Amino acid sequence: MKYSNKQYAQALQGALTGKDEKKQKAVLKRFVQKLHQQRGIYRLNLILKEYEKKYLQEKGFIKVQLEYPEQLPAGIKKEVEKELKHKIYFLEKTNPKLLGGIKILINDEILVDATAKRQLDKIFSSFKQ
Amino acid sequence: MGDSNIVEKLKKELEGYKQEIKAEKIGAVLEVGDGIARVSGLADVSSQEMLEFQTEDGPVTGIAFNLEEDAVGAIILGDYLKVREGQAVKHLGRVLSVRVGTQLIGRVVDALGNPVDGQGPIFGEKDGEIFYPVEKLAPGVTAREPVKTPLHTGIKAIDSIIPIGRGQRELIIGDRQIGKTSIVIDTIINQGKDKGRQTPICIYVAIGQKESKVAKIVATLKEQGAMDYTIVVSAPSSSPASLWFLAAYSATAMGEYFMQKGQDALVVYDDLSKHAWSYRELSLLLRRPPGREAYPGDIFYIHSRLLERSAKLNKENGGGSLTALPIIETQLGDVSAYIPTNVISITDGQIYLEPELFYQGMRPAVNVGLSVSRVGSSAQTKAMKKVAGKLRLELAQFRELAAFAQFASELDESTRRRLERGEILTEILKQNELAPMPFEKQVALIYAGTSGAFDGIKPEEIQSRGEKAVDYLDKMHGDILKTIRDSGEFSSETEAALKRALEGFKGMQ
Repeated sequence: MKYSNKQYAQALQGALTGKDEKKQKAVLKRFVQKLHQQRGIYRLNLILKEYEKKYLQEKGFIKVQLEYPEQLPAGIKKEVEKELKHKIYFLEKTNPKLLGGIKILINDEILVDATAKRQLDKIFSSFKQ
Repeated sequence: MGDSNIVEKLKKELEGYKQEIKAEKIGAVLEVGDGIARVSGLADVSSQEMLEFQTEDGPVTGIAFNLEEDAVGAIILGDYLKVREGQAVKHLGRVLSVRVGTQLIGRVVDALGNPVDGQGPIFGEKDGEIFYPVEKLAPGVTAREPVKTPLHTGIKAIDSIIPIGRGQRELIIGDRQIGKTSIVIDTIINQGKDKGRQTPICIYVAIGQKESKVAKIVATLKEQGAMDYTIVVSAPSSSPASLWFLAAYSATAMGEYFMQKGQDALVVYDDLSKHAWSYRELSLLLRRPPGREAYPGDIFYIHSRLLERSAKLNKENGGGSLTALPIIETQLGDVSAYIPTNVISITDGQIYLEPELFYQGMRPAVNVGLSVSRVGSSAQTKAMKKVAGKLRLELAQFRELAAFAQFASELDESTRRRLERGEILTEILKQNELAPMPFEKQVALIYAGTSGAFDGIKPEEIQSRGEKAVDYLDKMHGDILKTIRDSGEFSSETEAALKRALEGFKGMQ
């Protein structure tokens, strides 16, 4: 039977809950072996993403990735937290190509792109047309 | 665009600049390769919806193709080497469409409607923006009417025995290098020469063809003046399978535009075997389960939904038509393979080209016994119907007798005469490439053959004698040809006049 990434993630979470570190390691080892047997090792990355999503959801967190052209100014995280009214698991990324502004990615699904790069791309694409 | 224009436009853009910040639902590229990507997220994307991959070098378009439980399988229409794992993907909320209009006529475009002939943009700033979806439902039963107007190919063997009507789907099937493309090119050329009827807009779709072949076809069409009413859609062998697959649908969308306007259009799919290969490739890359010959289960549907869009619309719907001439390449004459049998069952008939006939010097190598047109005979002109009836009968008798005559040492007089007549008629049906013949001349020539005007002439001389007879009729008895052309009928008076004219010609030889 073919299992989906979600089903694998759910099963892994169930097997890890309530175990001590030693047992968790053994579970993880068996999980990788099982995945290898079923020729699904290439899906490991996707399963772990699902696992992370599920784990954060259960703990009441939302994942927010902040991308900024330079080091993130102090206070931004608080502002985002205040706006989203939620416990947040933050990820930070520096990307000088954005030129200015900020890019916020919520739960890997919703993107708020308020960067100068996007605005300039938009102007140039209107030129091309 | 000059510097001052650019500055002016930029100034306007900046003056009218509005900070638009909005939240968008996005997905992320999980894996990418061979023109295919798997994307996570995009939970509310619909099938065939356009996607935009946000690459570092700008957006690349794609289509949502496979909606799976935890990912979306997408085909990438641009440069897939720019797409990387983890990049954001947006769905655009609309299905793939091509811009259509009369401006496309005379141009060579790719599967997405972009010009590839180096003649600049197709549409001007003031042209209307009409987009037609690449995938569209075929017209229903109530919007259609029976096929009843002929689409003359200019090829004697086809127009007389396997006639094609406007709105029909006639398959051209045969091995490689046997003259399949020549038939369709002659057909396109003949549309401009077929007087008294609306010239259909011809769309030639080259699927997986060599660029040199496409260039040669375009040059031939230009030389013959056929590009004035032709659009060439090219998805060459160097382009990805996704574009091979889409080219047929894009061309049909272009044809539908003219059909909806009440015009006649003709789409030539050269060829649907490669189209099926491209779909097989995409399906296997998307890990869809393979079936017979490794084709996916819905291979029949991709061709049926494509060819079903060809139709003759009724007057309430504009009265336009879309004729389809799909080509299928067989391997060693095997018409019982998967794709040939599928397309044979979808179309309204097939023109079967036989290698043996080709090597015997019969050009076009049409096997009139195995070829059939299921709806075309009702579209045939009365004149052609009258003369072709006798031709069909005599050729059938000839084929039957020729098989038995091989074993007989002595033949009676009537059998010998029938065999001779059969040979003469076979010679009459031979025709050179790029030499389509107007239907009134075909009627006169076939009548000459069936009425015995060429009896007693050696088979090898028939073709030149036929050409001379047609030339003679054109110059000396143009009124007879004109009557047939204008009325489309072959009355007893016309028949008597033609008989007299042919006797006059015989007397001159």
